[in-house]
Amino acid sequence: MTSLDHQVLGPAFAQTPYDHPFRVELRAWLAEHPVDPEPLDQDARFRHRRDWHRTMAGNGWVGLHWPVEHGGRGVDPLTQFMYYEEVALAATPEPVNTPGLILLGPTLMAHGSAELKARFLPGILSGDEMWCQGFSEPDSGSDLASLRTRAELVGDEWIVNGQKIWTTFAQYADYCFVLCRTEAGSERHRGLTLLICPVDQDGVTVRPIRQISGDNEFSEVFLDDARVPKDWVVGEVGQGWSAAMTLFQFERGDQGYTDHARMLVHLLDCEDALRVAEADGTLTVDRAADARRVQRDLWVRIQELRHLNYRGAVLAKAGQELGAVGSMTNLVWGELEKDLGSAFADASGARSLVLGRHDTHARLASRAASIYSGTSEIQRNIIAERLLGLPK
Amino acid sequence: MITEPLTTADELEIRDVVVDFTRTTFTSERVRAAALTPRGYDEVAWKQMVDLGWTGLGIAEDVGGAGLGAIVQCLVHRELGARLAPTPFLGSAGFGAAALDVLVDDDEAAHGLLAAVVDGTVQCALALGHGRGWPGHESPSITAQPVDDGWTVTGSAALVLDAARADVVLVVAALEEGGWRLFQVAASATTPTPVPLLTVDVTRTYADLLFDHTPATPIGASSVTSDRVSLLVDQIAVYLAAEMVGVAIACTNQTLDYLRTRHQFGKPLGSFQALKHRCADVAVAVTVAQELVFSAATLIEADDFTSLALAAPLALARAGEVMLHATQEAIQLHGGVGFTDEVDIGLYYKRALGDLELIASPVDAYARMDLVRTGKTS
Repeated sequence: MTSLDHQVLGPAFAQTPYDHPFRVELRAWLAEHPVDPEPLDQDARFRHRRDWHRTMAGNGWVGLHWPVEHGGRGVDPLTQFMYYEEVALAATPEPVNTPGLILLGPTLMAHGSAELKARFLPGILSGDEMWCQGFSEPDSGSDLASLRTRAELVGDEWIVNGQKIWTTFAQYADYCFVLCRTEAGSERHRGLTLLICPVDQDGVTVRPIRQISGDNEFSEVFLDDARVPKDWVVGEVGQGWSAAMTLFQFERGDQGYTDHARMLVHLLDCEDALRVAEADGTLTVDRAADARRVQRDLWVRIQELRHLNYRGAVLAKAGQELGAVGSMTNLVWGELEKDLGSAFADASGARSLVLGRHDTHARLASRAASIYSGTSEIQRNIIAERLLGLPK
Repeated sequence: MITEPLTTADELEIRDVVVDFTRTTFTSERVRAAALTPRGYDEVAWKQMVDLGWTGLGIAEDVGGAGLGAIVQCLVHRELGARLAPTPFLGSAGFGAAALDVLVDDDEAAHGLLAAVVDGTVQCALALGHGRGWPGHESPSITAQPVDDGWTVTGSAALVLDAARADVVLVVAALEEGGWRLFQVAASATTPTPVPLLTVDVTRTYADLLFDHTPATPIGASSVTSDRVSLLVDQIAVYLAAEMVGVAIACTNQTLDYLRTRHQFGKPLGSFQALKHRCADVAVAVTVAQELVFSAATLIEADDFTSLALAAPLALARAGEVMLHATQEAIQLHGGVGFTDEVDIGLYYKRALGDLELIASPVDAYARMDLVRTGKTS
C-alpha cells in the first residue's frame, strides 16, 4: 500500500532524513507489496502477522540488524530506527516472532554451537519456526533466580519437569527456550541451563490464559517429562544464567523503540474517529473538546518517545551504554500506550462499549502495557535508584 | 543524572569550560548580590563572558563571532539558566543577535551591530511589534511611519527582557503596506526612558517600552514577511527553551542532593518510595524536554526551517511545562525549607514564572504548534 507522508512523523532528525536512500528503497518495496489491515480475531491476527513476516523475510526485510553471515544486513541502530518508522507509515502488521528475532537469535549467535546456529537461525529469520520464552514461573516472577523447573539428562535426552507462566503466544510456538535447573540441589543463579524445547510433544501442555480484552495472548506451560535433545543447550550446561543475562541485554527498551511511528499512525485513526463522532453527534461539544485536547497531548508525548528512541539509537550506534534512555523508554511507552488505547475508545463515546470493534479492544488490551516487562512502579524505582542515586 | 544531547568532542569540551566558569562565578551569594546593584546584573561576570568570547559563540565568523552554531548557543543558555546567572546574555546575545541575523540579509549596519554585540560595546534588547508569541492576525502593537528625513516607530511593548539597561532597542515594526521591518532605536530616545520593572524574578531585568513617533533607523534594505518574523520567534524560542531546561535540571539536582542527605525517621528522605517516584517522573520529563530542545537546535543548524516551525513551539511548550513542574516539585520535596528564601529553590521557581511569560506560555505555544501541524499558519 502507499505509505503515509513523513509529515505524520513530525520534525525530521539530522541523521535520519526523510529522503534517506534506505527509506526510499523500503518505501518502494512496500508500495509494491500491499497488505490488508489487521483482523480483530486473535488467531487470524497472528496468522496475518506471521504471513506478513514471511513475505518480508523472503525479500530480506526482516532481522536487518542481524549480521550478514546469519542472513541479516548488519545495519546500524539508526537504520533500524528508520525501518520501524517506514513499516509503520505503510500500516503493516506488527512484528511477530520477536522472542526469536530479538532475544534468542542474538543469544544463540553469542553462546550457541555452530550446529544450533545452523539449525535454528534460518527458521527464526524466515518465520517458518515460531518461538516463545519460558522464563517466569508462578513463584518466580521478578525474582527469576528462584525458579524450580528442573531437567535431568537421561541417555541422549533432557527430561524436563515444571511449570512456566506468562509465556506469550506459546500456543502458536514451535519452540520454547526454557531456563531450568539442571544441577539437583543447586540454588539461585548456579546450576541453571538454557534449553531449546520443542512445544509439539506429549510432555508439553499449553493452557492459554484469558485476558480482560478477551484475548489469550499468554499461557501457562506445563512441562511433564518433556523431552529435549541432549545438544540443544544454549551455551554451557550449568551456565544458563549467563546466557539469560545476555538475552536480557537485547530486551531492554525494544518495545518502545519499535513503536512511536505505529502510535502516530494510530493517533490519526483516533483523530478520524473524533471527527466522525463530532459530526454525527455521538459526542457532546464539551466531550469532543476534551478529546481533542487529550489527542494533542498524546501527539506531544509520542514525540517525546520518538526523541528518546532517537537518542537511544544515536547512543547505540556510537557503542555507548543506553543507561538512562533504556529505563525511561519503558516507562514512557507503557503509560503512553494505555492513554492512547483509552483515547481511541473515548473518541467514539458509547460506541466503544460494543464488542468486535478495534477501539473497544484497544482500550482493554492496552491496560497491560504498564505491567508487562516491568511495571511502571518498578521502572520508577529503577530510575530513582540507579539513575538518580536515591538510596534503597 | 540524565542524558547529555551534546555528542561531539568539541561540544563537550566547550560545555566543561562553560560549566566550570558558571559554577565558580555565579554562586548563590553573587547572584543575590547582583540583584541589589544599580544595573541589576553582574557587570564583572558579564564583562568576563564578553572577554571570553561567549557573546559571539553562535554568531557567524565574518562578523566577529566564533560561528559555532545553535547547539553551542543553546548549551550556554542552558548553563546560564542552571545558575540563574544575572546577565543580559539572553536579551542581547540571544534575542538581539538572532533578530539581526534572521531578519536582515547581508547588510553593513547589521554586521556592525552584531560585531558590537559580540565585543560588548553595545547591549541590545528586542521588541517584537506583533506582541508576544508568533505573528498572527492581531493588529500590530508597534508600527513604523516614514517621515521626511527617515522613520519613526509608534506603539508599545510590555515586559521587554533586558531592555532597562540596553543601549539599543531592536524593534520589529509593522509597515503600513504590510510586512515588517527591523529598526534600531536608541534606548534613550524612547518616551519615557525605560525604567526597570520590579518583578518576582530578581535575577532578571525587564522594562515596559513606549514609542511615540520615536526616531528609528531601519536595518536592512527591505521589509520581511510574517513568515520570516515567525522564523525569528522559532529561533529565540529554542534559546529560551534551552535556558528553561537548565533551570529544571539545576533545581532537580539540588532537590536530589537534599533528599539524599536529609534524614527523617532514621533514614534519608530519598529512600521513601513516594518521593522516589516523584523524582523519577521529573527526571524523565526533564530528559525528554531537553531532547526536544536540542533536536530543534539541530534543525536551526541544518537550516531545516520547515521542521523547525513545528519543533520550536513544541520545545518551548514542553520545556516550559517541565520547568514549571520541576520547580514546583522542588519546593514541595524540600518541605518547609523550600518555601523559605534561605535556599535558592524559590529563585528557580520565580525565574520559571518569568520565563513562561517571555515569548509564549505553553498554551499559546501549543496553539501555534497545532496551526503549523494542520498547515493553517497563513
